Amino acid sequence: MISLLLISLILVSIVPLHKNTIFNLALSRIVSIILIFSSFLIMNIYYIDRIYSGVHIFYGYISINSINQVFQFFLLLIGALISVPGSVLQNNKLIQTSNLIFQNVHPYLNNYGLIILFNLIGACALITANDMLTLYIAIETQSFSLYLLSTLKNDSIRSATAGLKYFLIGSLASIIILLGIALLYYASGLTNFENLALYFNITDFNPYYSTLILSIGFILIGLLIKVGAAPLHQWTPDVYSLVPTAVTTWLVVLPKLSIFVLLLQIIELILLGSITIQNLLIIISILSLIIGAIGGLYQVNIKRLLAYSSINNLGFLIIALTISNKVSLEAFTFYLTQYTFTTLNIFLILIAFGYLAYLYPIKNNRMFITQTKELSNSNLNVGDQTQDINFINQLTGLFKNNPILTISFIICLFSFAGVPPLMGFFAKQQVLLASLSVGFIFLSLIAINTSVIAAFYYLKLIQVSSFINNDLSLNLQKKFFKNTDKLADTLSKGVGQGISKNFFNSNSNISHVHSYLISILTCTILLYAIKPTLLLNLTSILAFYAFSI
Amino acid sequence: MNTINSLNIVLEIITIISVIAALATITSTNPIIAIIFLITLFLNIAVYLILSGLNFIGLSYLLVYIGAITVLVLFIVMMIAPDLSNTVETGTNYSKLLPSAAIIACLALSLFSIVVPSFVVDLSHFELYDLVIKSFSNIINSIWGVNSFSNSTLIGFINKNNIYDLSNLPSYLDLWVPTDELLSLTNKYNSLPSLAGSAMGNGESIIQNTTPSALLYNNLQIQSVGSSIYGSYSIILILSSFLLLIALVTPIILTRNNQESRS
Repeated sequence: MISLLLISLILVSIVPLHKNTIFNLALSRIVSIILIFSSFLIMNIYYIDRIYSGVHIFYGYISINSINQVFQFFLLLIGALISVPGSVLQNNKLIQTSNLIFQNVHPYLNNYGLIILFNLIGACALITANDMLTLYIAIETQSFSLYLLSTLKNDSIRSATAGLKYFLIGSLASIIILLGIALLYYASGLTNFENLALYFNITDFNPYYSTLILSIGFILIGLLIKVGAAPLHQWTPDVYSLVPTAVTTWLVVLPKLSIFVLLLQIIELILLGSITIQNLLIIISILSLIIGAIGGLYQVNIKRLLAYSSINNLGFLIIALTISNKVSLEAFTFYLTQYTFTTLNIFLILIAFGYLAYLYPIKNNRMFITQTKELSNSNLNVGDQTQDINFINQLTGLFKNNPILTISFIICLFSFAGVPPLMGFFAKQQVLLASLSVGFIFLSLIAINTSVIAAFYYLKLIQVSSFINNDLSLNLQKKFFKNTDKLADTLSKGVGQGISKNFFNSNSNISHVHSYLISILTCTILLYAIKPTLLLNLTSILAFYAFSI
Repeated sequence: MNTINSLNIVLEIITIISVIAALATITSTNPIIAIIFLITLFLNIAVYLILSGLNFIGLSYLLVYIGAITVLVLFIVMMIAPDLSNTVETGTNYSKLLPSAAIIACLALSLFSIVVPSFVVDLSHFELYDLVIKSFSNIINSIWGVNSFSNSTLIGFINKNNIYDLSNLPSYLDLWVPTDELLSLTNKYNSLPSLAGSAMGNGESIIQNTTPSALLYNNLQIQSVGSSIYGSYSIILILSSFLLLIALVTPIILTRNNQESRS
């Protein structure tokens, strides 16, 4: 399955040579079609009776089992879904408006498809890794493409800052992982996961025991820096807020998914015979929960806020990982799926908001300038900033403008907050059930309390987007553009026509695929309670396999 | 046994020099001097590799890192002609952070000395004269391949943790008995190549060619490296080729002007 991906990648990476002849949009579409095709190919080679508890290929450097296969399918599908909207939107706008500015919206998305293919190769290799060498190479491939992805908008200083920061922190994490692997090799002479697990099991007294623990701690800490768990989280809000939203979508969803699936597979190895590592994981989860809940309270930037909310969610995931029995692994799988769906949906909706706001670039720009005067000396141009929703106040009055989109946004936020009929509630409930069943009462108390605290900022987002009136911002707008005749003209036109009416019309500017995607994801989150067995059976089977390996 | 010990002392000295060079690399204010220290570091590591028997890898390290990468970086630094006043300022920043860095270093060192057995080598039972003479003779021996050290090259991959002290070699071998069982156990997965075994078998029967180049380029080493890269490690080779490909694509994408591609 990987080989097909490789071939398709080579095909795609050759294509940019003929840049002038092939439209960029076609390239993006090819990428998403390739991803869908290869994901179905992976399901096609999934023979559950053959790979009952795992088949090792390529001399044991890669293992194939049920968790791998299902999550590779999931990963590629999510990747395809993310890579679809950007491309089609561009086309739609080109056809509908044929405005000059619209062509400038996504010049940096030209290479998006190429880079995400690299990233997905790294991610697929990472989740199938069965050896420390494969792990390291795969994580490097994945991280390199992520650094490149966050620096993709190379004419913006914000993006360059984010990319550099991400690169430095990520390479530090890689060094720590490498140090851990070297220590592990020093202590045991082995790199293969299976051999290491056997080695841990058969030696009662090991003079290198403390080295083994230290090395596994290093590897774990490196991986947790890469996902951005709490004491090591400082880069996540910065990077997420500074890169364009289309890139943030990728950064939030995919690397976390792949690294957590890897952790799900090697958690038994990690926790083998050491309370120390388990304590470390528990501390990290508590810190993630608390920092994720409290850090998000004072954020004005919506992407920083969502970064903190993702840290809070990581705390739940790490709890489920730490317990590591069948119930908790089931909860882990389900939580991971739910987290991916909800985050993807929220970011898709944010992109859609950005496109809606793009119809009124003046309004958005005004908001942007008034709120970030300190950033105004950096080279911001209008075409850069108008398409992204950056600040919470930019969401004011969205409910009036586009109620359906806002309702799906609210549903996602409620799901994050854990309001009962939605998907997020069941995920949190499963994790808490698992942690209570092994007696982690204090941990569950912290988890419940922090999710209540985190509900505050989700509710604040809902309040801003649906209950704050738009008039205030319009008044500010008038004040701001009082002097410039031209802009005031535009503004009065906008006010005269009634912004809300135009926003209703502007529904068609979100492309069909994008809106279908948002609606399907929202329906999944909303209607999960009606037929939960579909996903629950899958996760319980996966947890069964994960536990039996 | 004693000769190998004295060689180990030389390796220790090289290690210490390389650590000093690495510290000087990150703390020196002038970038060119930093790169020269970096070259020193790489040179030390290459010598370390060659002395510990990994001739081919040491030579390729020398070629790739010193011959290509650092010289390229040196050229780039000379081309962009950095403003040194800024770097002096960053130097003062370093000295501000020095106490905390010292604390972190002490913590890490204590951690390592607890965790890594035989981290600190006991120097007491070596006489200085013996050390100097034996070490130099041993260096020459190991380079010219006369000594027995050269046939432990590939086993050096596994035995490397033994390099600091040989006094607990027997217990170490005892420790390794289960893992040998483990190797045979996991052979059915083909997870570990049978390369090490074959190397051990063939190591004695190699015809000792006396020309220096032939000795430095041990055929067995190149063969084993090649066969392991293209044999059992093939998937890692493929994956790392993708890593290199993305490293190649990165500067192209980053430096390309987006304004041109719009039209």
